[in-house]
Amino acid sequence: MTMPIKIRESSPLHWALRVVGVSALAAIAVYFASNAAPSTLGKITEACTLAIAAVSLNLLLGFNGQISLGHSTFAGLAAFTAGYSVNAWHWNPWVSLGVACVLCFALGLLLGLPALRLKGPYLALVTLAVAFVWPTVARKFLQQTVKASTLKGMRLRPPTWTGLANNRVDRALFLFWLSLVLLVITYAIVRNLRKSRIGRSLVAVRDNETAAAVMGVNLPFTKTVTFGISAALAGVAGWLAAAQLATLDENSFSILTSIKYLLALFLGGAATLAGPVVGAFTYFFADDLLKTNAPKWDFLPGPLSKGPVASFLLGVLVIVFVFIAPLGLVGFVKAQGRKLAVVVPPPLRPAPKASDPTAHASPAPAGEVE
Amino acid sequence: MAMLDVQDVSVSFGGIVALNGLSFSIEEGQICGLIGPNGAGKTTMFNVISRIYQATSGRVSFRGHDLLQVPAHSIARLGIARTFQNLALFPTMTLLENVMVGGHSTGTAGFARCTLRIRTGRAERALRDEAGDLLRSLRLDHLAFHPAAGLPFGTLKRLEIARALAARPAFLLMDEPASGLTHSEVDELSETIRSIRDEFKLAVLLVEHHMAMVMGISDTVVAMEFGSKIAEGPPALVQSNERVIAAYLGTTP
Ligand SMILES: Nc1ncnc2c1ncn2[C@@H]1O[C@H](COP(=O)(O)OP(=O)(O)OP(=O)(O)O)[C@@H](O)[C@H]1O
Ligand SMILES: [Mg+2]
Repeated sequence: MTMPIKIRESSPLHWALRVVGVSALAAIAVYFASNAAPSTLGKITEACTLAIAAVSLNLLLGFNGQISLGHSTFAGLAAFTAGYSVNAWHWNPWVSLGVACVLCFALGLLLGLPALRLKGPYLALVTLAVAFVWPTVARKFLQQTVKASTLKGMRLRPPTWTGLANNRVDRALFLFWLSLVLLVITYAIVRNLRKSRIGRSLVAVRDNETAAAVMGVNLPFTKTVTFGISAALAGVAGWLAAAQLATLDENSFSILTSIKYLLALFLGGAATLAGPVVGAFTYFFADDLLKTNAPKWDFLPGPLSKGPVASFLLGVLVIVFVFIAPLGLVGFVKAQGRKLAVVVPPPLRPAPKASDPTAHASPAPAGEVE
Repeated sequence: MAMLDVQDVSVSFGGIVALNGLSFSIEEGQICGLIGPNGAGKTTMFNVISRIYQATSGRVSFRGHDLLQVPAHSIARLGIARTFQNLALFPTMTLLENVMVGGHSTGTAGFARCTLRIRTGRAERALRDEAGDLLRSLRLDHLAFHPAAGLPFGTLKRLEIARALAARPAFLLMDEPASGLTHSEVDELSETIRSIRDEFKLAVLLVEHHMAMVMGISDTVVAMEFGSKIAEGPPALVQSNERVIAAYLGTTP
């Protein structure tokens, strides 16, 4: 067979490959669920949470071209909403998820308004300001409303239909599955959007605003609603974090959290569907590996082997990697994979009449194909 | 009543008067040439009609709608599409996707329906088929799955036409479609524009510096200089108009 192998999109072979891929991922999840220690499950849950945030940022930045350094604030707002409403008002945690998403959506719309007039570095600055203001707001809230220096996290009790008990081991297992389900839902939302009329218009706005408007794309509406949806999805990540953390404080969702989302996104590949997920897992486990191992590396000079320096090393690694592979891990793998196999889109509808003399036939005039 | 009626439109940028009380009208199905030396205000007129620039004064009506009250994104739905002088394509998208965005105004699925994929499949397939047909009629179908970035200028100019047609317009504005084309390509383009007009039954407002082409295919020609109209009428008359000749003296032999 000649290389690369051509796989027609949505052909039986393509579907078979998809089914195999999804089954393999599901099998890995089941394997971990039945074999891994609660602490490992906890780490995967954290990685999924980061992935949800990175996917949400990808919708806004990757596909729509609007940068946000304020996504940590949406996550923080959702986490505080969940932690406070569940502990102080005894809300059902699932209700708090809905409310947190609505609040984040509203705040996202609001932040989307200045985004209509600002671009690139200016928008980055405004959203950065929001990320900087959040700890102050959170501290005031803790002092005046909670009257404590921290807010308790939300203890999610596994529903009875799951057959899981309310102990540490089963809760870890429950959170593991829950985070996976929420990640799949978030991914599906962004994937559906991207592969639709609206998704095309988002990318069109990113590529050329004026042309998009002339084609009929309502710029203010499209951009603010995208901001809102992205914020609401970041809220899902924040809510999930509140379910994992024992306590939340003003520093739980600092600007560093936003930077982490950005790093995960660019490491995996912005504007690709799988990129933020791959990036989040890679980032999280590379970080984890460095944090546990760097202190043991006695070849490093003393101060360099401490925890924060592990993060510093990781940051440098990410920057170097993004220089080598600007399209991220997924872009890199795709480019390599194209030499082996490519997915080709279904062909265009054939010309109405093959004998029609006015129908121009391909192949093209010379000198046009690269 | 005329399809498009431009009355006394003025536009100024700071101190520069780009359009100065310009008036003209276009009938359904007509090809109207808009000519004038560099900086005469032709592109500015396009931008006023497509609501990118705000007119300082004047009126523009299209099929009974007061265009100056319509937001930019609603123009396409009214049946107005355009191409751009310096290309305004979506470089990361494939040619097929570019044309499909051109058909954005023909669709209805919003955020909610797209997120949940409610009744989106059929319209999507129909749009794809239509976009493919348009690419074929502009002889771009062999590049359908190629990103727009990096293709030759002439190819992209034709892509702009295909994209504009995807909106199923009744009125097509073309800003210098022949620029950067070779002699034989220009003849071919004239043929394409005429057949587009006949096939899609649309009116065309054509800005072009290529005189032979404009005079060859236009039903009427509007000539302008310094933001004002200096002549209007059948090509032969405009071509022999003294003020037009004077305006072009030294710019086009
Ligand atoms: N956005 C803008 N800001 C300031 N001045 C502008 C702007 N757009 C156009 N102008 C000015 O308005 C005048 C008319 O420009 P326009 O682009 O409409 O000319 P044109 O007839 O299309 O010329 P060409 O044949 O070179 O394309 C020029 O003097 C130009 O400098
Ligand atoms: Mg111009």
